[in-house]
Amino acid sequence: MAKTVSLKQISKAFTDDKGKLTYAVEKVNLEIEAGQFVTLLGPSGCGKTTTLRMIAGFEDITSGDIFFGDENVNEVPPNKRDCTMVFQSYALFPHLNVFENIAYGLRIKKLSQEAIRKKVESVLNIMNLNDYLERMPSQLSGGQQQRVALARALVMEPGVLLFDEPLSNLDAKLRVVMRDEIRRIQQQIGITTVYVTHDQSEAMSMSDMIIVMNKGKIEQMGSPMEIYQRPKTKFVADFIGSANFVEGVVKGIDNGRLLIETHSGILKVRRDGFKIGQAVTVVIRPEAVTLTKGTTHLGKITKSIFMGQTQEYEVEYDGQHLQITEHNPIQEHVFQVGHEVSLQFSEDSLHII
Amino acid sequence: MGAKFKRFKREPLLPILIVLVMLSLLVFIVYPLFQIFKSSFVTTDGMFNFDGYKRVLSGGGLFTALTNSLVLAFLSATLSTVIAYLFAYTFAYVKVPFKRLFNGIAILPIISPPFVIALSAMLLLGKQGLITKNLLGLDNANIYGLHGLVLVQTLSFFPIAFLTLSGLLRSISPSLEEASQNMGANKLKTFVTVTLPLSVPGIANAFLLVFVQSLADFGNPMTIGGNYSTVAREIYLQAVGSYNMQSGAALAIVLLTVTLIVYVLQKFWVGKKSYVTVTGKPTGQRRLIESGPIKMILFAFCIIMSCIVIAFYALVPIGSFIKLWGINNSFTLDHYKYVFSIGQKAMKDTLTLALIATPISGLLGMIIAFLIVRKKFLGKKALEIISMLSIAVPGTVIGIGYILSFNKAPLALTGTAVIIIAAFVIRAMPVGIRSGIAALQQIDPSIEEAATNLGAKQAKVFTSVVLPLIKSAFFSGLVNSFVKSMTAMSAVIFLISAKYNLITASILAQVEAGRIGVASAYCTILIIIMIIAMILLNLLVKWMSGPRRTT
Repeated sequence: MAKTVSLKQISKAFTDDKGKLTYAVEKVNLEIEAGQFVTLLGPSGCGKTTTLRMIAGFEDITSGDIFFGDENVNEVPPNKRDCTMVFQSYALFPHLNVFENIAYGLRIKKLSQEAIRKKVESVLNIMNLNDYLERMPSQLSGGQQQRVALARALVMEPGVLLFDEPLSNLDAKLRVVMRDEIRRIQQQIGITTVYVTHDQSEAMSMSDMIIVMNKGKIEQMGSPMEIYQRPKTKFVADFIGSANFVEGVVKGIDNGRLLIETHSGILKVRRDGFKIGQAVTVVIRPEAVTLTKGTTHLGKITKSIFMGQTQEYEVEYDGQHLQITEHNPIQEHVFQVGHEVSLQFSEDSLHII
Repeated sequence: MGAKFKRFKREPLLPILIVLVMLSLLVFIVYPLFQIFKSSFVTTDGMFNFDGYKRVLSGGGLFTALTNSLVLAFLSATLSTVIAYLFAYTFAYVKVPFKRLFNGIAILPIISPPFVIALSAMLLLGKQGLITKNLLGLDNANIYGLHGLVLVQTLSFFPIAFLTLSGLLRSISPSLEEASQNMGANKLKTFVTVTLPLSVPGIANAFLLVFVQSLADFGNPMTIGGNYSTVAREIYLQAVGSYNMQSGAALAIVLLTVTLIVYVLQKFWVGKKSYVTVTGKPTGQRRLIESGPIKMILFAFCIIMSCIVIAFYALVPIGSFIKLWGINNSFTLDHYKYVFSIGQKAMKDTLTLALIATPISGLLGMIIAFLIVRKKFLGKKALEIISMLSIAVPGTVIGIGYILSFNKAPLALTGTAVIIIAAFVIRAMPVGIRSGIAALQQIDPSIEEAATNLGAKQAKVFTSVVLPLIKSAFFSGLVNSFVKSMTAMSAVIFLISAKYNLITASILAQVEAGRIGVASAYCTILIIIMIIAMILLNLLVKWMSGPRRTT
């Protein structure tokens, strides 16, 4: 049965060598609905893995409460918690074959031989692993090991499924295959899932909700689209995709559009909730700008790189360098280093923080 | 505090285990060492003074023993390191046949009883020696003394240096040498400017390891030391012979200090200097030297050394069937008759006590390794240091410490089996701990977490995951502690009594009485027992791990 998970004010503090208290995770609140796929996303050291390990029970919490459903699990030892985990290194038991690896937890539960066989077989079917029963982990490819690790977690039919950067050891193509597969199985079973990664494309493609963490705290949470299009902080804007920042002041409001005065002219942005005179930062995604030969918002190309699907530019504008991406570049229209260009900002794609 | 108590309630096994382990180390290592330290300042009538140290450092017989030991250790360590380097270099760099055979021969002395080589040295090079008398016609050859000791110790200890160096040379990345050649250096230049500098830390390491072994050596100086007195022997003579405990203790403290300094030097100074990082990834294949004079010289060297080692080992069983070596060379079974009648008790005692000590020390070693690598607890650092330094404590020091500590209440253990077993365990355990630590560090901690995550309790995690994964370290720990216990002498020589006698002590007594034939028979039987035991232990482990469950 899929369970809700809630974290109430949980903190994890360490004392460092000098006896100073530092927080790896600080007062994190989080409500995860049953069956939801939630991703903890952030750079290394942001506290995402510590949070996950506190949910699993491998780290004691310094303060706060963790609930699975209505049950407070603070004092439940890790081997009694209703959650199973897929580890970054897979952590398959190297001395047991595939079948025994998957059956390990069921044997601990002391299920009958028959029940174990049935359960293992059904999960093997979902994972397409039927041919590898007798293999030892060392005889499997990375992708197959990944599947066994997932099967071993799924066969326990846990209330919560945990993933700790499970795809980081796979090559790029396999990573895409596996992330689609994990998402498919998660949807099929409808299991509550907490997934830790530092890879934003994984987070975007799999999650119902993304929690962006930084320095032990939650920076922002929301759907992938919200996080990308409406970042609340510079950190989020910069971490999810890439972004240019231009400082400015709200000068006026025109037809539901804010007029932002910057060093090199007025930018129009379709946003509300800001007052005239307020200092703001405009978030400009690389794809929110089109380069033309016009006369307004002039800039100079300082870098121009052909990437296949895109042309990546660096443009000197307003005393800073902006990253700009043009999709489907056509040879005749590509600008070269030194060209003067006009920047056209798409007012729907700009964002203000 | 509350959280800690709750964890204790959850896993009561672990804290209890930690307390037990700590307690046994305190009682059987720390307390005896403390007793030696105390006794070194106390006269027989209970007065406090520095007489013990004065005697050691005043330039008398005890001081000579100290300098003798250092000279001996320096010579043995130098020779052993040179021989071991040549062997190891041949292994890693030259294409020669019989590599497996050479390897087996090179490590043979590690597992053999301490007397075998000393006995053979007498049979070969002594007054009635096969070479000295029969081949060279010398009438008054004398193997006893420094030269004999250097020969015997070199042959006994070069395998230790060999294991260190061969590991190091194999892990030097061939691409470094290729880079050197690529930039124009010839083979000699490459060796001098790349290979040799890279192996300097290993050479220093090997040298220091043998140095410590030689300092602590007891068996060889006792058998063929002659008038050349050494520290380990002198401690025994002071303590047991003339019952001057204060001098014995003072000498023991000096010896302990020297070995600890050398050990710390080896561990922290040389160890840190190593350029080679062991990644576990196989480095690229090295192109071996396939021909030329270098190959010929090294190959000849390996063959000669192997022949010497084999000769030394073959001679003891042969000698055990000869009536009176060099004087009456007729075949006899008398020595064995003697051993099986009078020596029966010593054999039975040794075997019984070793069989009891083996599983204790094997398991304890793995548990301590597990605690050190995986667990956090109060006093962990102390546990780590004690168990690490106990490698460096010479057997004689343990021996004198035990008679000082366990002679009177509350721990009156002298003369009991317990004290001998404790000495066996403490002497054998450090190697087990070390290999256990090495094995555990190879295992990803998340494998254990996965087991916990799937519902296994601490004890279940240990038995179902950890133990199977460190099985080979555990097994080699068992073999090591059995071999060590069967051949132990330096520590237990202080502890034997009428109730419990040991083979090694009997051999020593026979050597001292000049009955080389009987000593050889004892040695031969000891070797046979050890071979049988190893085969049995091997079978036992195979049977225990059993066929893999598949359904």
